[in-house]
Amino acid sequence: MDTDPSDGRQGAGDPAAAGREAGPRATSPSPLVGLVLVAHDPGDWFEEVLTAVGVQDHHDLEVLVVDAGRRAGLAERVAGILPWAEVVDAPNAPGFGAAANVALGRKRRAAFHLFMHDDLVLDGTAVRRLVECALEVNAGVVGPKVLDGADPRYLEDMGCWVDRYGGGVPRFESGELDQGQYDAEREVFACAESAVLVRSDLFEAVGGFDPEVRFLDGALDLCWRSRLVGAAVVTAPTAVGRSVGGRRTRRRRTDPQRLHPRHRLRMTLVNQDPVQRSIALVELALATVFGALYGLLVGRFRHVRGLLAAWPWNLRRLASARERRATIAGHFGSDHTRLYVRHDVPHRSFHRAVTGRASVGTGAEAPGRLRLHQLWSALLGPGGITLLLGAAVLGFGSRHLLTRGLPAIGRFQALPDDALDLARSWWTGWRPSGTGVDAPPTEGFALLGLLDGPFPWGSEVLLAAAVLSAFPLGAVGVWRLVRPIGGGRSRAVAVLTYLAVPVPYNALAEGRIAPLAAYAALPWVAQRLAIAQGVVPYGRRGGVPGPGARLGGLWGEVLVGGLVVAAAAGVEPSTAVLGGVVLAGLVVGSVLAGSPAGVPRLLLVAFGACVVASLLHLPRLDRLPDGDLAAAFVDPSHWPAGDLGAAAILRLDTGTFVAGRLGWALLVIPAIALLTADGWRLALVVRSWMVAAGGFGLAWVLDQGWWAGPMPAAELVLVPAALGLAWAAAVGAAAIGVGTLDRAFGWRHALPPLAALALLVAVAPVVASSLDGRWGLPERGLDAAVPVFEVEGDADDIEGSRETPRVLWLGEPSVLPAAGVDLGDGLAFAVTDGPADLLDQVPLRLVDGEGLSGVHDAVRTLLAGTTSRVGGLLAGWGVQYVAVVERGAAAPYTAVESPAPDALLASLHRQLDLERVEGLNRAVAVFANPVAEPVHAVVRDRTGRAVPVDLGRPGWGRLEATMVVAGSYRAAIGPEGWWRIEDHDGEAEPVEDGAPVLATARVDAGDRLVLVLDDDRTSTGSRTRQLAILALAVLATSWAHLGRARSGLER
Amino acid sequence: MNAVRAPAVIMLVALLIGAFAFAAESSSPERTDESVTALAEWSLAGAAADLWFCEGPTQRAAGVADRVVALVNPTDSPAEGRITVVDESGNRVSRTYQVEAGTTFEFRPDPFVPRADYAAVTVEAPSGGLYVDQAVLGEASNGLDRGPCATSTSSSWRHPWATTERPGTTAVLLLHNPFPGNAVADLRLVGDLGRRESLDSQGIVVGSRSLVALDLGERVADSEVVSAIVDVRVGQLVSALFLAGDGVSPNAWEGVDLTPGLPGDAGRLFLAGPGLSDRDAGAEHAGPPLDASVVLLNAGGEAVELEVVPHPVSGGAFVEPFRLVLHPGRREVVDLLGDGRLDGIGPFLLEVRSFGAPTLSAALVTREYRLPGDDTGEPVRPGFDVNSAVDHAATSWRVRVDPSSSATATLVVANPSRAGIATVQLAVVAGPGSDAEADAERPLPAALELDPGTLVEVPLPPGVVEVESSAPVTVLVREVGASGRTGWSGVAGAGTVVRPS
Repeated sequence: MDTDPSDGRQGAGDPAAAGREAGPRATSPSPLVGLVLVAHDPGDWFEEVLTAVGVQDHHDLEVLVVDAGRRAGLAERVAGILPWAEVVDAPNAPGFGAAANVALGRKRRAAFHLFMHDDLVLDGTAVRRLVECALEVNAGVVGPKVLDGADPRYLEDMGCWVDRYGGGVPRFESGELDQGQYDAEREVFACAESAVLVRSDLFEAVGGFDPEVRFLDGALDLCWRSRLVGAAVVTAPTAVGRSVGGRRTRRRRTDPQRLHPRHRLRMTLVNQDPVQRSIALVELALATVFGALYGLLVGRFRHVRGLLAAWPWNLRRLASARERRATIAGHFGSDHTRLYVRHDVPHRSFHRAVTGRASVGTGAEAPGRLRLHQLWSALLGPGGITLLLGAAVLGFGSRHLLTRGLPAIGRFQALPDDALDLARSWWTGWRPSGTGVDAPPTEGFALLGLLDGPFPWGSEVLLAAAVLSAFPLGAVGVWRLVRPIGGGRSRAVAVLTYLAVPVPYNALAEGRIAPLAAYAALPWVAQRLAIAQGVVPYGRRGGVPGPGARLGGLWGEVLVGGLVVAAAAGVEPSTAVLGGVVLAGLVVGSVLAGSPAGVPRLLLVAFGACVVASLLHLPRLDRLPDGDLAAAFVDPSHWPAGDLGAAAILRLDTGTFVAGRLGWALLVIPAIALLTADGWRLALVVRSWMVAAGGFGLAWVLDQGWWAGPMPAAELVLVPAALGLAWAAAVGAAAIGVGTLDRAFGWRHALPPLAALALLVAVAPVVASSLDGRWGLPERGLDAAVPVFEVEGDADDIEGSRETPRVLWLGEPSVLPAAGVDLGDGLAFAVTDGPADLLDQVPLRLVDGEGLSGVHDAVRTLLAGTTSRVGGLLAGWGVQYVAVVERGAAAPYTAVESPAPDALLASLHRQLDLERVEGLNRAVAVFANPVAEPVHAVVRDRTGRAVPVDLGRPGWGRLEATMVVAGSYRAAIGPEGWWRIEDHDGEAEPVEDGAPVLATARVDAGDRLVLVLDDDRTSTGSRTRQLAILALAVLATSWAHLGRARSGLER
Repeated sequence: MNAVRAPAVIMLVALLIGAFAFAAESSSPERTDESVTALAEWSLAGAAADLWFCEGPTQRAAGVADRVVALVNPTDSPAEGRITVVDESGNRVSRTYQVEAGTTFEFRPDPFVPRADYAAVTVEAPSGGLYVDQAVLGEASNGLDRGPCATSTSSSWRHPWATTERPGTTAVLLLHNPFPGNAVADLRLVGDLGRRESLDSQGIVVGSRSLVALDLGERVADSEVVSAIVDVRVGQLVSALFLAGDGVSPNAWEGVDLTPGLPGDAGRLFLAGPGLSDRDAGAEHAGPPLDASVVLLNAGGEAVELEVVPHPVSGGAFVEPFRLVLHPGRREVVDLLGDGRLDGIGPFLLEVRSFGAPTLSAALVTREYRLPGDDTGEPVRPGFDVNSAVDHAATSWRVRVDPSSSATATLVVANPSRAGIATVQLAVVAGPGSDAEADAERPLPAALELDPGTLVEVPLPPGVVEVESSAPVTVLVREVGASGRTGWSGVAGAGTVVRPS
C-alpha cells in the first residue's frame, strides 16, 4: 500500500508522466476509466483526495469533478492540484446519485466509470487494481477496501450484504482490525459506498444511480440493479482507500436515521419483483408501526420521524419508481432472491427495520451473542467463577427447597388458591386479611401472583424460587456494585463476603421476607447512589473511572435511581429507609475521608430519586396520613432490649445460623482495607465502612430499646452493614496487592494470605450449612399443625354454603403465620380467613379495618383478664378459632420456639365460651369459638339467631349471598363502606353497633344479594395513575439513558 | 485523589468502644416454671374478671340438710354477673345477679336443679371484687362445712383422703367442667389394699358445662382410706370431694365435709398445725381436735423419700420429723398424735418435704374435737374435717366468717418461709353492719409479726377480713360450733401468690 501524499504532489498535473514512472505495467494497454468525483462542500481533506487521484498509476484516467455543493471556489481547489481535470456544476445540491449521473449524458469512450465520494483517499494503485479485478472476474461493479482514515489499521467499509427489506448488512463489526480476514471472499451484494467502479455499458443499462437516493445507499441500489441484470459485484481487496471525511451524518440532509428508511422502501418498490415487493411492503408497514413505538419508548425521535416520513416520501415518488422499475422489468423473475437470502434471517431483518440498527452483522457478531460472549468472558474471570461457585453452593444448599417448596413458616406461606388474587388485591386495594382491610399487598406480591400462571413448576416452587432469588440477586448486585473498583479478585471477595454473612440465612430460617428482599435490592440502590456521586472509580471526579463505570447525566441518574428505589420499595418498602442509611454512610464517609467531592450531586440525585419513587408509589403513600408510618410498612418483631448485644451485632449473628466466633472473620478484610488502602481506595473504603457503621448503629440503637415503634427484624437493619462490609472487602482485595511485591519483605506480605484465610473461615459455615439442602429449614411448617382450619369436603363446597373459618392468631410476631398487629411484650395478633396465605403477609394497622380494631379490643380485654367470655366478644367478627402459636413449625421439626405467655394461655383456658381443640401439635394451641357467628348471616327476627347464608364468590370483589331464612342480613366484612349491596330491593338498615360493619338489609328466604367492592373506595383509579406514571418514568428514563449513550458515543 | 484515614478510624473505634461500654443489659424475661396459682384468688374490683366454681351436694343428697352459696360484695360498687347451675343429669340453668355494694347475696342451688343430688355453680364476676363461698350443713345439724369456692381449674386434681367404710359413709367425687368443650379424665383410686384402677375409671367424659358425681363407695368399697388421683386428658376441670358419715362406721365418721381438691403436685407443702396446745391447755379459740393425721399421696411415677416436719412456734423445741418413703401411686397416713412426739410443743406449722420428685399432695384429717370452754374432757361429735396442704403463700388474703353463724372462728396465719419476718395487718372490709357488739368482743389486733416457720392464731370477727402481709403467709380459718368443726384456707389476692422461699 502506498499512501504517501508526497507522491501525489510529485505527479500532480501530469498523468502521463505518472504513468511512465509506474514502470512496465503502466505502459501496457488499459481501458479508459472515467473518474467522477462528486464533491459536496468538502473540507480540508479534499486536497489530499485530489492528490491521491492525481498519482494513480492507471494510465487512462479521465477525471470529472462534480460540484454538488453550495459553496464557491471548488474549481480553484481542483485546478490547483489537477489542472487537467474537468469541473462541472450540479446546481441545487441534488445529492450524490443525481450528481454522479452526469456521466450518463456525456458521450465518452470510457470503459469504466469510477464514482467517488469527496472524502476517500485512494491508494496510488487503487484504480488500476479495481480495473484489473473487474477484468479478471468479469465483474460489472467493483469496490475498494476502505480503511479508517484516522487509523488505517481498522476497516471502514468492504461492501455489504442486504436483507429482505433492502437494508445493508455490513460484513464486519465496527472497530475490526484489517487482518485480511475478509479478502478471500470477493463477492458481495454491494460494494463500498465511497467508490464504485462500474462498467459503463452496465451503468447505462441500469439507468445509472437513482437520483432520488441521496448520499446514502446509492451504491447499494446500483449494485442491486446491476445484479438483477446479471452483473457480478465484487470487492477488490488490494484496491485500498482511506475515508478521511470523518462523521458528517448528523447533518440533517445526510442523517442515516432519516435516509435509510426511505431508501429501504424505495429500493423495495423499485428492485423487488411484484410478489416479494407486496410481502415486503406489508412487513415494512408493520415494522414501521413497531419501530415508531420502539422509537417513542427509547426516545429515538429522529428514528420515528424517519420511519414515518419514508412512506409519504415514497408515495410522492411512485411515478419515478415505476419508471426505474421499467428499466429492468424484464429481469424480474430471475432467481435474484438468492442474492440476499443468504444473509436474510427474517426476524433479524425485521428487528433491523424496527430498530434501525443495521450496523452489525447477522452471524456470531450479532449483539445478543456479543453480549453473551462478554458475559461468558466476565464469568470466566475470578469474579465470575466466584459467582458460579456461589451459585453452585447456593443451589446445592437449596436443592430440597427448590424441589419440594418452602415450609410454611413465618411469612413463607402458600400462594392463595387463585394466585391472581395477589394482583387483584393490589389493584383494588382491598385484602381479606384482618376481617377485610384497606392494606393492599406490595407490587412484588402482585408480580408473583401474575407469574404463577405461566410458571410451569407450580406455586410452591415459584414461591421458593422467588424467596431464594434474593441470594443471586444480591450477589449480582454486589458484583455490579464493585465492578469499577478493580478486577475479578475484588469482585470475588465482595461476592463471597456478601454471601457469607449470616443475615439472609437467619432470615430464611425464621421465615422473614423483608430482610431477604432488602438483601437482594440494597446493592442495586447502593450502586445508583455511588454512580450518582460520580467519584472515582464510579465517575470522573478524582481520577479515571474504573472498568464498567457508566457516566450518566443528572436527569438520567435521577430517573434511573428513582426507578431502582421504587422497584426495591415495591418489593419491600423498608428498603427505602435502608437506602437512606447507605446515603448517610456515603455522605459521612466522604466528609470523614476528606473527599467530599460529589456529595451535593449525590444528595441532589438521591432527593430527586426519592421524589420519583414517591410519585411511583403514590397509592401507598395515600395510606400514611391515617396512622402510624412505621406500622404501615414494618412487620413487627420481638426484640427485647439488649437481646443481641454489641458482639453479636458486629458478627451479624442474629439467629439460628450460628457461625460463632468464626463470624469475626467477616470483619478482617474490611479492617485490613481500612488500615492499608490509600488514594481513592481509602476514600471508598471509608465510605463503605460508614455504610456498615450505619447498619451496625441502627441495630445497636434498636437493641438498646430506644425505638418505641414496631420493631423491625434484626436481619433487616443489618443488611446495610453486610453490604458495607462486602464493599469494603472488595476495596481491600484490590488494595492489598497493590505494590506489595515491589516492597521489601515485611508485614504487608502477610496480608494476602491473612485475607484469604479470613475469607475461607467466613465462608466455611455457609458451605457446611448447605449440606442439608434446606439451610436448616424444617421439612414441614406450621400448616402441618393446624389442619383444623381447612374447610372439609369437596372444593365445590367451598364456593357453596361453607365458609372458610376465620382464625385469630396470637403469638410472637415472627412465628405467626401472618403479619400481625403488635400488642407489645412480644405478642402480636393476626386474623385470617382459614389458613394463612401470602395475602396475609403484608403489615397492617388497626386503622386499616374496623374489624381489626374490634378484634384488637377483644384481645386486649382477654389479656387484661377482664373477661371470661372472649368468644362472645369475637363472635360478631366471625372469629371461629383462636390459635396461640408457640413454634414456627410443627413439632418435632426444628423451628424457632417462642412459648406464649402463661397469662395468655391461662386466660384462654378460663374462657367459658372457648373450647380447646385437643390432639393437635404442640406448636399451636387452638380454641374453637362455639358462639361465633357466620361472617355472612341472616339474623332471624324472633330468635335473634344468626343463620349462615349460601355464599359464592364469582370473582374478586364480588360475593353472592343466597338467603335461607328471612330476617336481617349482615356481614362482618370490612372496611366500613367498602362493600355495597347490589341487585336487591330490600330495605336498607343502619349499621348496628358492634360486629356488623356493612349496612344490613331486610331479606326474605330465597333472596339473593350481590355484594361488590365499591369503586369509589377501591384503588383502581390510583393504580391506573400509578401505572401511567410508571410508564412515563420508564419512557423518560429510557430517553435520558439513550440520550446519554449517544452523547457518550459522540464523545 | 487524596483521602485521610485517621478521622474514620478514630470515629469507628470510638463507636466501637461506646457500643460495648453503654450496651443495655438484656431485658428479655427469663421464663421460669415458678408460677403458682392458688385454689381461690380474688381480684380487685375492675381489675379482672373472676370465675368462681362451687360444687357440692343439694338437699337431696344423703346426709345433707342445706347448702348455701354466698356472693359477698365488699366493694363500693354494685356487682353484676351471671350464675350458672348445672347438675349431674346435664341440666343447666343460668341467671343474672346483682349484689349491691357491701352486701351479701345468698342462694341455694336446689331450686335451679330440683331433681339433682349434686350441683355445680359457676359464678361469673366480670368486674371482679367478689368473694364467693358456700356452706354445707349436715342433716339434723349433724356436721358443718364451710369454705370459699374455687377459682382455679386444672388438668390434675388430688384428693389424698376419703373413706368408704361401711356402713354409714358416703364419698362422692365431683368433677365439674364449666367450659364448652368436653373433658376427658382418668381416675386412679388408692384403697386400703393398694392401688385400684378399673376400665370404667379411665376416659371418664365430663361433658361441656356439666357435673359428674362419682360414688367412690361403688368403686372401692369399704376402705378406711381412699385416695383419688384425677388426671385430665382433655380440657380442664374443677374437682371436689364430698364426704358424709352418720357415725355408725367402724371409725365412727360423723358429719359432712366438702373438700376441694389439690390442683396438682408439689415438692414442698404446708399445713397449719391442728392447734394441739388447746388439747391440754383448754380451749381459747377454736375447739382442739382430739386426733389428727396427715395423709400423704405420691401421684408420680417414682418413689419419693419425704419427711413431715413440725415447726413449733416456740423456737426452743425440736421435734423429730416423720420420715418415710412413698412408692409411686401410694399413700400413707401419718398419725401425728400416736407416738406422742408432739405432746406439749404448743402450736406448730407442718411442712411436708420431698427429697425426690415434686409429686406429693397431703391433707390433714381431724375427727374428734372439744367445744371451746368445754372442760368435761369428753369428745364431741359430729365433726370430721379435712384440710388440704398448700404449696403456696401470698401477701394478701381475704377470709369470711358468716355473721349468722354461732360458731367460734379462729384465724391462723403462718409464715412458711425459711427466712424473713412477716408483718401482718388485719382489717374488716365488709362486716355484718349491725353486729357492732360482736366486733367489740373480738377485736382484731392491729399488727402481727411472724418469724419464719411460725404461726399465730387470733379470734376472727364476722364479715370479710383482709389480711395484708409484708411477706408471703398462709391463712387458715377454723370454725367450731355446735354443728361441728370445719376449717378452710383463705382466698389469696390475685398476683400476690408465690412459692415460699
